[in-house]
Amino acid sequence: MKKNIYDNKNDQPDVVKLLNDLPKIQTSENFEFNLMTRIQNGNFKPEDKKLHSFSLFGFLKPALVVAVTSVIAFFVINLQDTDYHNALFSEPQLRKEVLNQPDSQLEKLEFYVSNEEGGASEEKLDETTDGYKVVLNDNDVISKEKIEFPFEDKSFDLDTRLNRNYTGQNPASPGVLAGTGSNRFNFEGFYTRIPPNQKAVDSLRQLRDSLYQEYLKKQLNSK
Amino acid sequence: MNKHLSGLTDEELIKEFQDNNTLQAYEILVKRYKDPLINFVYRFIGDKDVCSDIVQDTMIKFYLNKDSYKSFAKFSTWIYTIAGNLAKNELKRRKRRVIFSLSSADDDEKTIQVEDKSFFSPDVSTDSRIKNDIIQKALLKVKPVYREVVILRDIQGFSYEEIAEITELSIGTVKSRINRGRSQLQKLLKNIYKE
Repeated sequence: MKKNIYDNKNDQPDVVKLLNDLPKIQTSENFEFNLMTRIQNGNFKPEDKKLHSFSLFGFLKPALVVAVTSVIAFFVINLQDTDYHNALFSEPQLRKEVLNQPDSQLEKLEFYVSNEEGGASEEKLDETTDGYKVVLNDNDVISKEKIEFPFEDKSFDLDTRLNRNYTGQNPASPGVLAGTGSNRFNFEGFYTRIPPNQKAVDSLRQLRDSLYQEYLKKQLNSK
Repeated sequence: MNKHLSGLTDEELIKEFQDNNTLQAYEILVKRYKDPLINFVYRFIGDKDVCSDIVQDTMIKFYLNKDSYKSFAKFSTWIYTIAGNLAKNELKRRKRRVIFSLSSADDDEKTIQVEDKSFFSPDVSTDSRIKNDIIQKALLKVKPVYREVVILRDIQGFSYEEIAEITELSIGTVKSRINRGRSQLQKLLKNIYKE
């Protein structure tokens, strides 16, 4: 059974009775006359406020403004973009020193650059794994040229190379730090820091101060 | 003709007004509903001048939008819905005005002090006019959502179903709101109904 918990008129009989006993308000005598006059005169002010005809243009106006603004902004930004120099999309210029080098060296450099970029140059057709490259010459003859590596052999022992300059082999001669290249830097070993002799420092300071005072005295006497 | 019309029910009268644009039918309906509506709006708003305007606007809306009434609904619930909506709009407008005018809000607070025992001495509360005034002020202190249904139920005497139709709420909500409204009113009027 559903219990009607809200229909509790008997719970609040006083309130209900008070409200029932309230006097009935009546309209003024000329209420109907005023109403009919308003109707006959067509004086429907409250209705007039509501009569806004719906138009699609009015409804879409804010959206159109936003769309037009964004299109204009897009074009303006795009036009500005053409003047913008993007370093990632432009090739770096060759330095003057490089350009002044003989052609053979320049070609070599271009070959390495093209290899790094992953693109095949016109002359290069294929690169073999045994240290040779296939080159297409101007007279349409394909030849095999040895690739010049910056070291003697293709197989290269890095440890041997570094040990050549290892200072431990000949303690009398100073070692050269690996990786310093042409800027040779002699390495003479590590030193431990010797703390200064405090007494000697103090005596030197005293000497300096006494000399300075003497100097000042002489200056005053001369004046 | 007029005698014949006055014997018709509300629904028959509005049908006559819709079909034949008979102004007498409209006038009879205005006569029948002007007092109950002004009573309802007055109890809801608490201002006699404004409530008269609201009822006039209700009648004009009814005149202009007579075709929006559908015969499956009761005329009374339809016209009360219009009046209730207009009254709620007025209340919102007043609320906005009160927010911008702090002085008027303070005045309101001063006048609605229902639980002031020294003010409601036994001699004074026997005066029915003042008593009604106090009840009206207490009613205005009840939240509008509860006040509307309490007025419709306890002053206008509508059934729960009719109130649900007027307020466009479920019957359960109507019942709970009536209960809460009455409870609020009971707290506000505890000094009066003890006597």
